[in-house]
Parts: sequence; C-alpha cells; structure tokens
Amino acid sequence: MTTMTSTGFSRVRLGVLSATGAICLTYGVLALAWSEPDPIWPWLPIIFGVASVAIIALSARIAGSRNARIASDELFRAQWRGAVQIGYWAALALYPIFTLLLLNDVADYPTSFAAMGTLTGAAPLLAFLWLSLRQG
Amino acid sequence: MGVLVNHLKELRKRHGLTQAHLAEAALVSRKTINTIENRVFVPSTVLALRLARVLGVSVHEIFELAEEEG
Repeated sequence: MTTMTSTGFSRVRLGVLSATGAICLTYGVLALAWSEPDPIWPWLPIIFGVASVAIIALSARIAGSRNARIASDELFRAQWRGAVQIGYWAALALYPIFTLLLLNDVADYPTSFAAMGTLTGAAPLLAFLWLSLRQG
Repeated sequence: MGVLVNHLKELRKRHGLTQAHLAEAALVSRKTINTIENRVFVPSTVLALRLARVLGVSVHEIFELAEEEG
C-alpha cells in the first residue's frame, strides 16, 4: 500500500534538488566572496547531492511505481531537459567569466576551481526549480 | 502556418472531470493537464491520443490548428 501520492513525490524531489542547488550556489558565492576554496565544509555539496539521490529513490519506492511514473511524465522530462540545457550554457559562460576574474586577480586558481565546480552543479538544479515554478 | 488551439478544458468539464481525475486516467500529473489547458505545454502525440481516448473523442476535437491573422 502506497503512502505518497505522485504530487507528494514531485514535491519531495523538487525540494531536495532545490536544496542541493542552493547549497552549491551558496558554496560558490562564498568561495568567491571570501577568496577561499573551502568557505564552508567542502563535503557539504556532495553530501546534499548523494542525500538527494537517496531521498528521491526512497520516495519513489514509497510512492510506488505508478505514482513515480506519473510524477516523471513528459512535462517533468521537458522541464528537466530545459534545466540541463540552461546548465550547459551556464557552465560554458563560467569560463570567460572566471578567466576575467583570474586575469584581474579577483580570484585565484584554487578558489576558481571550487567556485566553478559548485556553480556548475547549482545551475541545472536551480534552473529546474525556476522552470517548475514558472510553468505552474 | 497556424496556431495550436486546444479545447481540453471545455471537453474535460463537459465530461464532468476534474484536472486530477483526467490526469489520473491519462497517467500524467495534474500539473501537466493544467499546463496543457493553459497553453503553456504542448503534449506529445502519445499523450494527445491518450487524452482523446480517456475523453472518448478524436484528437482533432481536442487540438486544432487555427490560421494566424495577417
């Protein structure tokens, strides 16, 4: 007997993905702001990422295959595809941005590595949140 | 070329279904039905056919191409 609806599963999924995106964004912004490659505990983004996968998998199991399939319908797939597309262009844009920062001594290489990595991770996750909220 | 027009909301109400009921029958989320009705999302052919089957109508009664003005 399932105890989670497809809507409930969708909300859990969106919640954990958004939280992971927010942590990654926070990490990247703080790294740049404080010129520190590890402004907060460096394992935090990956722990959130792994925890998100685990929570989503567990929620799918609780919701049952029918509800999980409904929550992963073509609208979800279209929104996720859109998010990944945005993430791709955001990741590319980070290169010229950080080149300028490095050339002008605003950031050093260790900080840039940390910031670019986490911002690249944040982009598709937060784009998915935006698309989900924007498209109702 | 033509603009996509859909009568999904009208047909759904005529059949006395809520968005949630139609979504459940078509195996999609209520949000998907809502975005189709609001012309935010264009469904795939498969979903269009499934909606037509649930509503007992042809796809052309749900979706049609209206000529663009000008």
